[in-house]
Amino acid sequence: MSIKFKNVSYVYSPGSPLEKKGLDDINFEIPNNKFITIIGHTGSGKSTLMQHFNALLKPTSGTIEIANQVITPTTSNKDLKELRKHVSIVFQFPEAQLFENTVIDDIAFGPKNFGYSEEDAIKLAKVWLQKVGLPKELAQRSPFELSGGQMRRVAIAGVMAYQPDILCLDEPAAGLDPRAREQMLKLFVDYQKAGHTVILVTHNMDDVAEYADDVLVLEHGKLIKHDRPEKIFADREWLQKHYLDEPTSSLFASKLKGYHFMQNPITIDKLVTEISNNIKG
Amino acid sequence: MVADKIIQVKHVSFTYPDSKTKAASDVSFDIKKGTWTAIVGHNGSGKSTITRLLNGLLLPDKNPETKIIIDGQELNEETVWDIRDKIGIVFQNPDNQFVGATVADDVAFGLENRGVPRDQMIKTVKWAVEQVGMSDYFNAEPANLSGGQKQRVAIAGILAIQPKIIILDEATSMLDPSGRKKVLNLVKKMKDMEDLTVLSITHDVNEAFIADQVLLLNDGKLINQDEPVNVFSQTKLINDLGLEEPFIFKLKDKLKSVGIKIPENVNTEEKLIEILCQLNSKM
Repeated sequence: MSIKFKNVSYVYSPGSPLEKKGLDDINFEIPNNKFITIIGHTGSGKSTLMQHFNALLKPTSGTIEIANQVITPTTSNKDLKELRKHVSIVFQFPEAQLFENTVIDDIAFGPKNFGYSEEDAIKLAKVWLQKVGLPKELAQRSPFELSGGQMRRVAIAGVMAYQPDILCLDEPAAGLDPRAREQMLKLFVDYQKAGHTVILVTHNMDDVAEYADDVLVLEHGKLIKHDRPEKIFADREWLQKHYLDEPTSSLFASKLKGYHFMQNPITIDKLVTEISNNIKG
Repeated sequence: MVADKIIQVKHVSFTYPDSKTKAASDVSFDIKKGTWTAIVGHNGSGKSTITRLLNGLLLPDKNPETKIIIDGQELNEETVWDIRDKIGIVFQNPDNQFVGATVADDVAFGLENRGVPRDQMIKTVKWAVEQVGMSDYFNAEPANLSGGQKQRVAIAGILAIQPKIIILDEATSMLDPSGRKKVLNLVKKMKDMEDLTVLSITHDVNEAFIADQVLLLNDGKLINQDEPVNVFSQTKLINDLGLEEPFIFKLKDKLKSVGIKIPENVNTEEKLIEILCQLNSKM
């Protein structure tokens, strides 16, 4: 069971003066239980693609196979609840979607919505409150009294609490401080290692280099590359042509004259190894 | 000379209602006109509180020693409207600051508020939208823009007002790297052209490094005020505060752990590259 996109296109406001192609003939297949990143510029179609993973948008043409379901332009909305239990999307600024009176009720809403009993939902909510790194004491507080970073974690806990097989996140760490960012990324890596698929939209090439198994690169609604991070970042000319940044480590490496690298060091640990091999011979 | 200090903050504390701890605790600092200051600290360290105190969105705790002076005017009930005219804040989330039906309308909003003549307004709006690279979207609805595009429009709205002080409250954190660079370069250009003073609240080390000085906050207290390189080279403190160590310091530490020692005074990328190339050629 993998995720398959076949000739998927999406057109915004078709037939109107505002008609705009969001996705243009997208084809790819990604295996399950991997850490996938989607990169591309503002307006390249990343969010549009994301919304197809649980059929918030249905393709204008083409087919999508995901979580044992097939989505086509004619898929009926009533078949989609099961899909959304398995595939969840966390949008940018998910804290804007908090609404319950207490933190614990807000987290429990997701599980309850997907059929867990009140009791089980609260139990799960307590577990995930801690997993996202929030102190127990916050459980009975109003989510609106929390800091932005804490609200973000409550919102994400609410989605992770019903443990979707496929978790899609749109820039989840944007605006968090570096430690909170790192904790959050670790949370997703652990989630993936526990046997789920994580799909992350990000602009941070260091995170892509560090965590991604597969990278999808979008430009003007087209999938222009799908490969492993080493391969994506290997072709400097191609990156420059598409205005994509390199990871900090490989960029630094490119400035070291007289060094010979066995492999383009896209992470800091690989860079240290390569430098050490050069200097110590 | 006092006149070249555009912002003076003296003994300012602030406690949110119902909170036991101070969000800002006896903070004092000066900012020189035409400089770029980065305010760094982890989430909840008081960065945003301080910027909201500067334009009177929040009022400091009562204390006879407390003073906030902006561009020669002491902040109080009478001056607050003047002072708000001088400060443009770009917030993190542009969705909360949109009012216009199109990009151009939105950018024009601040000018309309200030009664700018229509001819002038049309020119200024066009100019500001161009500056942020959004001319192709002049008549687009904000709702149809992506997060990054919206933020560029919000910045255009501020640029149109041409305030004396621009506060970027994590304003670039949602932009892609090229968008972020463009915006920062633009603010920098504006700063030099119009003698603007820039305050940027940021978690991005690279953004902090553009600044002339860094204010480092922790739990509402100002714990360091210095040039970026001096603030960030205290790597232990930076790590303890949950901030990100700049890449070259991280690399130096990691090299040290595999037995490659780099002298203490190597604190820029150029110097580190130079010394690594020397070490390599000696072998």
